Amino acid sequence: MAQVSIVDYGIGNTGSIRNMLGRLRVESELVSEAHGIAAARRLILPGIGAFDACMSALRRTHLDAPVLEFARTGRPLLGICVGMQMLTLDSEEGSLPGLGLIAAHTRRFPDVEGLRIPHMGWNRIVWRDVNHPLACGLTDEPRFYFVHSYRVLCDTPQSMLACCSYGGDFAAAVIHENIAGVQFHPEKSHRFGLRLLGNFAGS
Amino acid sequence: MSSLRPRLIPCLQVADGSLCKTRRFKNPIYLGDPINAVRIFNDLDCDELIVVDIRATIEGREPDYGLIEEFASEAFMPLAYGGGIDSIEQIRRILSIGIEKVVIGSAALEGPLISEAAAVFGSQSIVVAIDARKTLFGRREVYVRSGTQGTGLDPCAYAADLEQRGAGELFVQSIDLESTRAGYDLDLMTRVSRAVRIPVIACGGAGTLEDIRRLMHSTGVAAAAAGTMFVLHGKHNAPLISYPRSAEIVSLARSTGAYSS
Repeated sequence: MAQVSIVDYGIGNTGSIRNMLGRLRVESELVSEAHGIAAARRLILPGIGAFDACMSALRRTHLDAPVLEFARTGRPLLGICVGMQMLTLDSEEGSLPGLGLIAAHTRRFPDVEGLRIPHMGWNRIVWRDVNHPLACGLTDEPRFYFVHSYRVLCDTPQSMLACCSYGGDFAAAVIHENIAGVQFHPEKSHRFGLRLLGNFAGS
Repeated sequence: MSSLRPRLIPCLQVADGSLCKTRRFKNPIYLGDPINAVRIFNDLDCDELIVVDIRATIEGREPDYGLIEEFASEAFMPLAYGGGIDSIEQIRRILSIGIEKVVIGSAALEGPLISEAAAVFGSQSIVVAIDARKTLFGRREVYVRSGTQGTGLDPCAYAADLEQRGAGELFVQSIDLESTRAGYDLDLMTRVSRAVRIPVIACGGAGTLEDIRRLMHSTGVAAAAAGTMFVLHGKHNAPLISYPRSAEIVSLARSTGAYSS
C-alpha cells in the first residue's frame, strides 16, 4: 500500500510531486475517490491556480468531505501551495469558503511600490518550531521555491509553522495537530524539498 | 522592499535529443546526453532551468514528449520548456507531465495563443521568448523561427504587447551576443525591462559572474540566464557543467536588496 496518497481532483502538479517521492523511494498513488482518501496513510492536497477554481473542483469531484473526514483521523495531511490556502477559512481571491482546518485567512499581498506579484522565486523561511518533524534537517538556512499571488495570514501564532517575508511576513507553512500546509513547492525545491517531503513521508 | 535571491538560470539547448550549444543561433556543437546534464545541475543545487529544443519549430515538429518526461522526472527544480509549442493542447500536455512553465517563441507572434494560454493555465506558467538582433542602424529587431525570420518589430513594443496579452515572463535573448562571452546587451535589457512590469529573463553573452553582476545591478531584469558559461569551459570550449555556489549567487544581489545570508 502506498505510503503517500495524493488527492487527484484534476488540479495541481501531481507529476512533480510523484517524481520527487519516487526519488525518495517513497511509494505514492493518486486518489480520486472517497474510499481511496479514507484508506490513505498520509495525504497530500495539491493546488495551483485560482482559489475558487481549486475549491470548486474539489467539490465537483465530491472529495471535499472525504478530505475533511481524513483530517479528523489524525493521520498526516499536507497541503501544497493553493492546497495549503484551501486549508484556511477563506481567500480574498475568491468567494467560496476554504476547508477551515487552519485558523488563518488567505489574503492579497499588500500594494507596495516595487513589490512584484506573484512572489516568484526562491526565498528563505524561518521555522517557528524547529523541533517539528517537518523541519528535521532543514534548520540551516532552508530555502524554497515560491509562486503565489496571495498569502496566508494566521489568526494565532501557534498556527504558523514557518514564516517567510515578502512585502511583510506571511505563513510559509501552517500547522494544526496532524494538518500541515506549505505555501512553497517542495517538489521543485531540490534538496530542501526532498528533505521536507521525506520528513512528511516518515512522519 | 523585499528582494528575492537572484535568479540564475542555465539555459540548455537540445537538438535531435542531444545537448548542444549554438553560437549566434548557428553552428550547433553537440555535447552529449541532456538528461545527464540535468542530473548534474540537480547535484549542484541549481535553482532553475530552461530547456529549449532549437530545431522543433524549424522542422515543424511536435515537442518531444518522451524527452520532456525524462526531464521532468530528473529536474527537481523549476523547469521551463520551449521549442515547437503552438497550441493549448501541447501546453496542457507539457504542464501535466510536471513541467512548470512553457516557453513560447514563434507562435506568440500572432493569434490568440498567449491570451488563451494565460487564461487557461495562469500567466505564471507562460514565458514568451523574444529573440532580438541588431539592425544595421543599431536598433534591435525581433526575430522568430530560431533567428531566421525578421519581424520588423521593436523588442520593447513587442514586450509591452505580450504583457498586455497575459505573458507571465519574457525570455529576452540577444542573437548577436549568444555564446560570445562578450557580456549581456545591457542597453536592450534595460529598455525591455522598463517597458514591462512582468519579470524579464536576460540571455546571451554571459562569460563570467561579473557579467551577471553587471546585468543584475544596472538593468532591472529579474533573472540572468546563460548557456555557454554553464556548459562549456575555457577557450577551447570543453564541455563542463558548472553552477555557482549558493553564497556566490547571493553576493550577486543588488546591494539595496533585503535578501541576505
